[in-house]
Amino acid sequence: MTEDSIIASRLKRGFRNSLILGLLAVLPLGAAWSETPDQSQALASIEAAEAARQRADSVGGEWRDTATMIEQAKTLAADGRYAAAIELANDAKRQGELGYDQALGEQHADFPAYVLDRSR
Amino acid sequence: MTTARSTFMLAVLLVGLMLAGGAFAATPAEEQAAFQAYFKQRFPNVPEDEFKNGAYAIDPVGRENWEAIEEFPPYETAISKGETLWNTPFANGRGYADCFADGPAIAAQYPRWDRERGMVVTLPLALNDCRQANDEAPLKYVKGPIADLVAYIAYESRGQITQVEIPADDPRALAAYEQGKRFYFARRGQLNFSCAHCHFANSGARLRSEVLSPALGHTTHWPVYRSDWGEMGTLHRRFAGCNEQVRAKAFKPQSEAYRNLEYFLTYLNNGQELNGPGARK
Amino acid sequence: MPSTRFHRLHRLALVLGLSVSITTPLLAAGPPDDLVLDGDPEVGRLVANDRAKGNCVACHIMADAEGPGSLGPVLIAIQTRFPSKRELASQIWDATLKNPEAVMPPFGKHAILTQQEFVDVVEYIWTL
Ligand code: HEC
Ligand code: HEC
Repeated sequence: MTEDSIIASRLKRGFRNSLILGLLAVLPLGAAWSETPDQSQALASIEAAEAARQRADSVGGEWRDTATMIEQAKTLAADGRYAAAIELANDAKRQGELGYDQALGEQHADFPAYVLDRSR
Repeated sequence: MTTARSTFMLAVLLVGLMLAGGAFAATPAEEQAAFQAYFKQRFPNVPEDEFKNGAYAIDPVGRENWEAIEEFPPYETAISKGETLWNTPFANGRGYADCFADGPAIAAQYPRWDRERGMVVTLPLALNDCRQANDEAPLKYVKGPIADLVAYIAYESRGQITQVEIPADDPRALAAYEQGKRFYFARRGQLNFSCAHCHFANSGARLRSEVLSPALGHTTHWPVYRSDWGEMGTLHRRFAGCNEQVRAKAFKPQSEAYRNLEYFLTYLNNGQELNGPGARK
Repeated sequence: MPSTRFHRLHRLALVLGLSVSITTPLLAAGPPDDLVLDGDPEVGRLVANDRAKGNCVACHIMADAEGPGSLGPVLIAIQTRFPSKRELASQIWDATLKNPEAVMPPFGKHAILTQQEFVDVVEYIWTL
């Protein structure tokens, strides 16, 4: 059954409320679900990746390839290859998040105990 | 809760925070001693004055190649180019010697804490300051003329002893050292390594085909002619390379992060003899 | 004596600073539960030897690997070392879960390998 026919059958049965609820739930997932994502979805992913990269950079935690990945995603988007652009941008965003967490976790990094035992 | 009581609680919490944040930390001098003792105990057969030769102090095979290379040192051109640069007057008729009264043998004076500017000043930075004070364009930091100049200065400074100071009466100097320390020990990059992961407990081990050098001796011999680069490079170029090999974004040469890192690492190497410029694989 | 002072200060700090250290929890997480470990060992062998991918050979001696490094233990008799494939997967996903000081890249957690490459490598190592 396609999405359209589901909607049609539900409408026929008069389930208006559940239609509204259903639409609300599905809307944010549209980007991941639709087979051919559009330009605006690609640009939004790229923007989110760039924000994550900058956040990592602000704590000195940016990774080596993140900026390059974002540039490549932009090129893909410019070529109309939106699905590939989104995938790459999402990977870059993940790198930004991981790099940020990593830097925060290492804020108090210190001599290893086998060199300098702080508990003595 | 009464105000007095909550103030007390706050005070207790603050003291706790301060202590947990390092009030029982060792002094830099104690850290330096622990660092040097660690490497001497790790490599009991390496004489103290051999660490300045990096991996070649601990890898007999690499050392043989290196000794052959040192017979016709690949950094000699850099030294002579650097000497020419040092002696060529700026457009205004003045020169480096006017900025550096003790020059050119000044390598052991850097990096140093600059009280007026409240920052760590490295040798390449001081050279560019001199140029700018004389209306000359600054040099790029990782290779080329700056590496030539520093090579000449390093050569003239051979035999000097590393003696970085952290002035006790300026807490900002200690803060810079602490920042360098955190940088050194923080895991970074996609591969999640800190500098210490490769240059402390794994020094002497092989990472693929390269023998990892101990951190003791890391600051003595810059700039370096690296066969891999096919040219000279500064210490900050090496920092950037080591950051990138763990897939972290490198910082800018002479950025505050790298200057503080150099300050920390060179301080730990106090007592080591300077033997730059160097040659490495 | 400074050392006794450090000692006392340290105890005090332990008590007072406890609240601080508790506020920095570590997200301990291995491979996702729904990750099916049914990779292709032949592909995994290539990934493990590929410098840009697994590059396990940079640190491990493995059967038929060239120019091995010596940072990590020899990868051999794996099924006697790990009670299950999933525990092996966890080691490769993020070695710091077991040993916070581990010097092995978190291949899964940091997405150094794709999920497919990851399960392939796990499968290959499981055969060693
Ligand atoms: C993944 C391992 C690894 C990490 C992490 C690493 N390095 Fe290195 N480093 C190397 C290798 C390999 C070399 C070249 C062989 C050698 O001399 O150790 C090297 C060389 C160096 C050298 C030059 C040694 C010489 O004798 O000329 C310095 C200095 C250095 N690293 C500093 C650092 C600093 C500072 C960091 C942290 C920002 C760091 N390294 C992180 C692997 C690493
Ligand atoms: C940078 C070096 C390095 C790389 C690269 C590396 N490892 Fe490791 N590995 C280690 C070290 C070090 C240990 C020891 C564990 C510890 O430190 O807690 C280890 C432990 C292991 C163990 C546990 C062995 C045992 O008998 O307990 C397995 C399995 C393993 N690694 C698999 C891999 C695989 C698969 C790869 C490639 C995808 C890989 N490693 C890449 C350094 C590395």
